[in-house]
Amino acid sequence: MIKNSIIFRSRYVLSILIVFVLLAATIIPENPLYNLNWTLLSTVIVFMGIMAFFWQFEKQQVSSKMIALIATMSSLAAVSRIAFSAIVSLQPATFIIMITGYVFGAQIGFMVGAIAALVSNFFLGQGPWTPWQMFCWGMCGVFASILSLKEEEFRLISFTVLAGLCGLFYGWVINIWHWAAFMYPLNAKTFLAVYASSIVFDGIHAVGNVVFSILFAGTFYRILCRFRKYV
Amino acid sequence: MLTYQFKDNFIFKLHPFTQMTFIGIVFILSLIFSHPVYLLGLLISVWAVIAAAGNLSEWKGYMKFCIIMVLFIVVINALFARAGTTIIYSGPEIPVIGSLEISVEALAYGLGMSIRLLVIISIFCLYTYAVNPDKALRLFSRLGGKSVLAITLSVRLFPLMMKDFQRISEIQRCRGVKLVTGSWWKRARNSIPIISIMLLSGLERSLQLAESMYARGYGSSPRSYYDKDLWRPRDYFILIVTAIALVIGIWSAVMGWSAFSYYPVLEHINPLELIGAGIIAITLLVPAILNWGWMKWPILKSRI
Amino acid sequence: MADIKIQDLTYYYPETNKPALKKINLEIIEGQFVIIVGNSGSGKSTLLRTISGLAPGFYNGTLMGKIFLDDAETAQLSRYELVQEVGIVFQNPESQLVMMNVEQEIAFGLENLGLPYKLMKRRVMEMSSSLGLSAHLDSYVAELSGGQKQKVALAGVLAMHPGILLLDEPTSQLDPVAAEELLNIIRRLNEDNGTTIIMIEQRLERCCHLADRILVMENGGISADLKAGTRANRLWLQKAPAAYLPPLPRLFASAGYEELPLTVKQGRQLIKSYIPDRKAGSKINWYPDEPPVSGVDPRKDLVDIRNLWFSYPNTGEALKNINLKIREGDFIAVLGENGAGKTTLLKNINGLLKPSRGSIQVAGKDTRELTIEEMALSVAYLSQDPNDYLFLPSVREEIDFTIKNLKLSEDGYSEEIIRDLKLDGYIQCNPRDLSAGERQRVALASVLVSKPRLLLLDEPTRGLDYQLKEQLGKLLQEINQQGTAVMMVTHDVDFAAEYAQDICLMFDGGVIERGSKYEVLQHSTFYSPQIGKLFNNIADDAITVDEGVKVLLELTRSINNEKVSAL
Repeated sequence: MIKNSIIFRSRYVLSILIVFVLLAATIIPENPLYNLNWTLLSTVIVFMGIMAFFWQFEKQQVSSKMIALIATMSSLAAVSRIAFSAIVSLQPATFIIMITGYVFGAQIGFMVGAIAALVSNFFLGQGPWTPWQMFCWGMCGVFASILSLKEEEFRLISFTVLAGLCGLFYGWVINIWHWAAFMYPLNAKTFLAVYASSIVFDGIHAVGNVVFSILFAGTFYRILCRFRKYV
Repeated sequence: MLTYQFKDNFIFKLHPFTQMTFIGIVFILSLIFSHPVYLLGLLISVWAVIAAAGNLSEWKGYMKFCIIMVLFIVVINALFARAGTTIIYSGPEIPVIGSLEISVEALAYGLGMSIRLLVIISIFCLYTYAVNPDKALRLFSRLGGKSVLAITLSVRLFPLMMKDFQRISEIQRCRGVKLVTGSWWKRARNSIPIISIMLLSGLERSLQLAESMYARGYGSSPRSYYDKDLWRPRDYFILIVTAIALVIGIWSAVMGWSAFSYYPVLEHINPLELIGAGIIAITLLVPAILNWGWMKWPILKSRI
Repeated sequence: MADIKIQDLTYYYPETNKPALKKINLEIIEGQFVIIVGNSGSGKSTLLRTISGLAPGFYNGTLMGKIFLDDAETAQLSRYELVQEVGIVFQNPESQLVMMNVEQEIAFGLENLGLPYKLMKRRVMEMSSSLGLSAHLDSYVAELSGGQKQKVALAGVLAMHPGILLLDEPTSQLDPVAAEELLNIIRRLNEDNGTTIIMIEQRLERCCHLADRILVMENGGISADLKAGTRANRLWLQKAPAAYLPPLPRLFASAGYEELPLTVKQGRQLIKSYIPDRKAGSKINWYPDEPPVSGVDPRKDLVDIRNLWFSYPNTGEALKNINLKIREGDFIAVLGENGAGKTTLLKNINGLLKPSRGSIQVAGKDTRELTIEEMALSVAYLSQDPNDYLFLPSVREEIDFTIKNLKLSEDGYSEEIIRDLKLDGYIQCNPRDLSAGERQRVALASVLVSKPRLLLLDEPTRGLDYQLKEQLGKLLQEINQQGTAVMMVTHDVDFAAEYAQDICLMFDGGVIERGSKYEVLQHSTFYSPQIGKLFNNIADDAITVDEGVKVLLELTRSINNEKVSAL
């Protein structure tokens, strides 16, 4: 009910598309935007993408329950990012954000992802990566919510596959920034080089997401659905 | 628990808006500039301000992590950039990459970008350690009160949930849940009770928090904002000099002075074009200079 | 400020058929101090929620009947108006505070009201000085103690200047000293400012001397409305249901006395009035039949702690040179103030922490050589919050989870535990839906299935009412008699005196004294139960309710005898 009313208006899809097209435009040679400062532009665009979601959130009627829910889930994701690495040297933050997005819809999913990244960096250290992490995790929540619209009921397999893909997505978007900020020339070779050098990390992230999804998704889905009726 | 720890010096006693403006302008300038001297100027100023703030030891920690990225940038650029003409090493044919050629220009580019990275990392280091996150967030509460409230609440819950995590894992270990020993897969599976309890208790608490917010009238009328940070002459002063730095920075970017072409041959450095870099570095050094003056002449504390 | 008038109030939570409140009619005049008692599920919290507009505003559900503040019906008031009339403070400070620092937290409600900055500043200043929080205005909330956090929560509500203050068990999560301080603040509010106070409180001995009126709730209705009248008048005590009587009047009631004292002072005056010509130093001789056992104790040592020192990496020494033995069949209560090292000691015994110096042997083995999982077989640990145990969808699974983890054989012992802990009725329920007392029993069952030889408890009585405390105490005694040694950390001296055998006093990381509860508690001023204080210098060795009753009966018997012989 939440996901139908607030979320899936076409302008959301549109704004996401615009962000991606602009991002692509800054890194693909031979177009009018090519001559601009890519680093600056890509950061600005990602920043605008984040702001767009926050702006939507500000315009809504937001109940105290929604604020508390978003804060709780993002804090849980942020804590898990730090605490779990001690046990299994992986962190289920991406998974937690995705399952929240799946159950509560794109708006809450994005907010939880973005805030989780921001807040955990208050304790780990902020860096130029912060807006990119905010954006990527937020989008992981949005993707999961899109999946929930496509499905009649929760299916572990599709969720797990998406979780794996989101792990790759996360790394790949962050790579774009690495590449655009510090590489020259911006061509296919350096692009591939950056991607090749991070493939192990991205792979581990994806595998971690799959594992956590298999282990936790059922429990989390049940608990969050039980809670949804209070919000 | 927060990375921010208050220290009694000039940098920490600036208005959060002044701090954020300084940091934001250095960040923007570092992205605009590609000239190594301009970037170096920024790096020196930021370094001096971090030193003035007393966060050099933390900065060193950041730098250690940074070295890996610097090496990465230099190596990748050296290996893949083909636009350079001054070849200093040419090696055998390597699959995918092609023939191995390392040029002075590619090395220089890698180094130039490394300076940019150091500036960016340093300025974020300053932000991480010297800006009170609570106050920084509050600057935005007039723009986005709801988001800022959600973020603030999340930061407030963080240490609480960290304690929950520790307590719950101890308790579950006493129930025979193995978290330290056993195979990787078993440990991962054994973390289910912990994360489930954190989720369940967290959600219960979120309802109680919401109830308390509701009972204190959240959403019953347009909010006002309680903001106790005061403005002092030092803030206006720093804001003015950083604004000067920004203007000069943009101007030298428009004039093309702060740009540097690495390829195909390294551009000659024109000393006249470096005047901008000098002025910017000096203006951005002002906070560090004032901090020094403040330590030396305590009377300055009461004047600014 | 206003009088509260409630007419025919009935309330249903959403998706329930059973009303949480049934036809309540109630009038509370301005400035009254009202205490509500009742079991869990009696509707007391719901009543506060309806008065403050949380039900149905926050909870939805259906409300029938009317609530008036003077002449205004609360349903007609906007929330903006209502929150400035009625403020509410809840049980757990952690789940009320939303801001990172104290000053912001106090200002939160004021911001919600959209007040101008100057006014907010003034109110924050007034509240923080009157509640003694000025020194902490810049502190992070996370750095405060539990009592300070609750004061901040109270300040945040009071800053909105409500004429009516509702409190839902505000002291249940606090230690006795902090609870006392908070109650003093509440009393001052009522006396100095005339604020109407409606407070739910389980432990009447802490606060009933403050109240004008005591409401007893049962099954969604008010079953007794006791006017405490002037605060010295104790007649209401005779009418109150026995279950809600504080320990002291209950003692006199069960010994058949008509007049019931509320404080130790009143009790001693009462006793002295029966024996006016008591010679100095003479005591009531009530002794039970058997003399105290002396000689060598035949029981074996279960835990042997020798020269134990423990330091945390960042905060320094927490335990200093502790020597302590726990024998089989012991029931020890560990008393001491916050930060004395009580919990650290427990964690050293169950292997969560390993000694920095010295050694701990549990059943003959050094804890350094055992993993926590191995120790879990012989030492069970129940922490403060039962929620930290419960995550499975039914009680049965929750208990089986431990069995599976510790690879125990399924020999029907779990059935025995379920029966002993009176959980038969809930076996398929979701533990999270149960009441606090039931949740605690589920958690206890889930650690007891391993048939431990030692049970460690950390503040088991926090938040429990008299009945639940009594149930728990008897349960622990049963477990103890079946052969499990029990060691509990507590702030509740009365509970320790009533059920434990031995007391261990801790202070500043060391054990100050360890001995039988009669030796340790009898003549202490601070760590003495109410009954011990009552009979101090009047009768020896009387610190439990049972013993107290015997003394009182002996007293009446001797008076009767004297009367007979005088005839």
